[in-house]
Amino acid sequence: MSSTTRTTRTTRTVGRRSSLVVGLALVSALALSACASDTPTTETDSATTAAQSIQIVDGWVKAVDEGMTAAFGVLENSSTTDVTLVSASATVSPMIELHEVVKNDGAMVMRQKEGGIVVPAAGRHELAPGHDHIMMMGVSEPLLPGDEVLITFAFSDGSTLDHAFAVKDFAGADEEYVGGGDMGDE
Amino acid sequence: MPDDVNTTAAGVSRRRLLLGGAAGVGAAGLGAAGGYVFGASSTEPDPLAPIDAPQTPSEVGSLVVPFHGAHQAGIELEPQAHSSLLAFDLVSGVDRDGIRRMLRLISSDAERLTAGRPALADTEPELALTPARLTVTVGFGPGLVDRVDPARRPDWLAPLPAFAIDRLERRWSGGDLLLEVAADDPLTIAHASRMLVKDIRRYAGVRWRQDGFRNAASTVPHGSTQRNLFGQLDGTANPATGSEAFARVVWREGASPAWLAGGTSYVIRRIAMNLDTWDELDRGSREQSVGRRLDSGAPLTGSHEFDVPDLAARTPSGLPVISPIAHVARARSSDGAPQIFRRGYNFDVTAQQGTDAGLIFGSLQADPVRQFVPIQRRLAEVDMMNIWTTPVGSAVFAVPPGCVPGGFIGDTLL
Repeated sequence: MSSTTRTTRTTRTVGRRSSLVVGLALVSALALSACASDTPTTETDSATTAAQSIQIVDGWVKAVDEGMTAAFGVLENSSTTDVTLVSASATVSPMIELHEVVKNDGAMVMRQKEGGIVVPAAGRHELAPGHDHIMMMGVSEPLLPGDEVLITFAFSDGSTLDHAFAVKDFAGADEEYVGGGDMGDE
Repeated sequence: MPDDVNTTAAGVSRRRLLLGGAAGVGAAGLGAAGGYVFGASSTEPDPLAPIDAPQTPSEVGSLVVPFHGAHQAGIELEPQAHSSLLAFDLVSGVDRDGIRRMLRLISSDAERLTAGRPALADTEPELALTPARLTVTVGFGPGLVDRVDPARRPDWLAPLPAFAIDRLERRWSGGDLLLEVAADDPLTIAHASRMLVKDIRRYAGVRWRQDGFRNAASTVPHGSTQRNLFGQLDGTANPATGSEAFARVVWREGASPAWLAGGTSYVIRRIAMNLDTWDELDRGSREQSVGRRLDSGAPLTGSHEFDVPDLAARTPSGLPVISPIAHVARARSSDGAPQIFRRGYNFDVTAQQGTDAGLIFGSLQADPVRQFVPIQRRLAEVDMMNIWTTPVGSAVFAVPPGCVPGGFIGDTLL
């Protein structure tokens, strides 16, 4: 998002009629350089927490009136060490689990992910329908498209990160829940 | 435009190839017998050879129009090749908060898709990677502003006065919300409009959709005036984008109302053009009906498209060269200064029921009652073109200003 806001301000004036255009290749180049400048240098800074190393991009939550839903997005790790996401919380959901989707007797089902979600050093981990996601249960107020939901992520070093997820209507992401515990669909 | 941006080695060589092709056509002449000719080679062309097989995406596809700014994108630019105008009705019960949520969704999708990035929760992300000058322009109908606060609706944001020539149909008229999705690639438009329609359907449903086209991207020189389906150059009198005249005609300033400063108004009229009866006219009659030459677009009193029509000129026998009831004579303001900016797209949905073609007449101006209505009144009174054209749809929208990063279109009202 931030790289977009930086690059889309670029304008060009061409010919008699001004046209506000810029090559996508140029946008990509700027975005890459922006990312590069954002990336910490290779210094081993022990004061950097996991939360400081993680950026959440393209975060969104499936709209729901009540009950179960899920959050998705991409976790980007700018540090030189792996980062482990161990839990998440939000005021709109009393019970949030980190889930994975696996094949079970030929069907794709979701279950709690043991050991949390590991974001590799200088890498990324995608949370997407049909894959790992943030499972939100017991939602009691409607999550309306166009609103935002604040979710707090907790990492293995105890650091936490808040991020606002955009709510969107979404037809998919209805995998069956066969997780441990008794939080299944009702 | 492609000469200024993203000029890759492949792009240059491809352009040379195409230019060479044009020269080759001339050199090979009729001997080519309709086969494609490429390069300046004198060898016999192979009609089965690939026309052009670039290994990288074309420059046309990668061009991005910035979403943020003082004005909304999609207005002050050379119109894209394709446009889909979508009008929506708000779902009953959607209040100010619902409208705000809807506009945030629209702005998020527009910001990302126009930059060539998938929307959030985009299920077809690959379709978002060819921006092709995609723009999403948002307009508010009277109903939307009334739901927010009727006191903030300008008087002109209402249906136009009735004109005697109108044969308006509800299916092409009105609407609470306008989204114009335009690009040089119709597949890009299809994806963006699908994304927008499904993202806001809890708040608004499609009332009408009008799809229009101009010349495909880069098939005619930049800045060329477009032709309509009667073969006429259409929009010659437009102020040039980037000019002071454009700003004066189109962009609103001041505080009446303040939420529209930096915005404009958008009149969209669907004009059915009777191609079947137009077919009956000889070329001279066609030129007389407009007052311009069909080939160059020059007024019948001039020799170039942008020559000023001389409405007082007489033939040796004393008759007006340009008939006082010709379109150009009736449309022209008293001082000749441009009053509106035309953004027109052709449509042709001819099917089993017969010919159904015409013009999606878009008119942008700071104040439609002061600038557009007088022109339409004159044309409705007398205009030879009325014989072959019929307005079948009409809608007026307020176009709010652009937004800054972190904001959303319409945040000045909400």
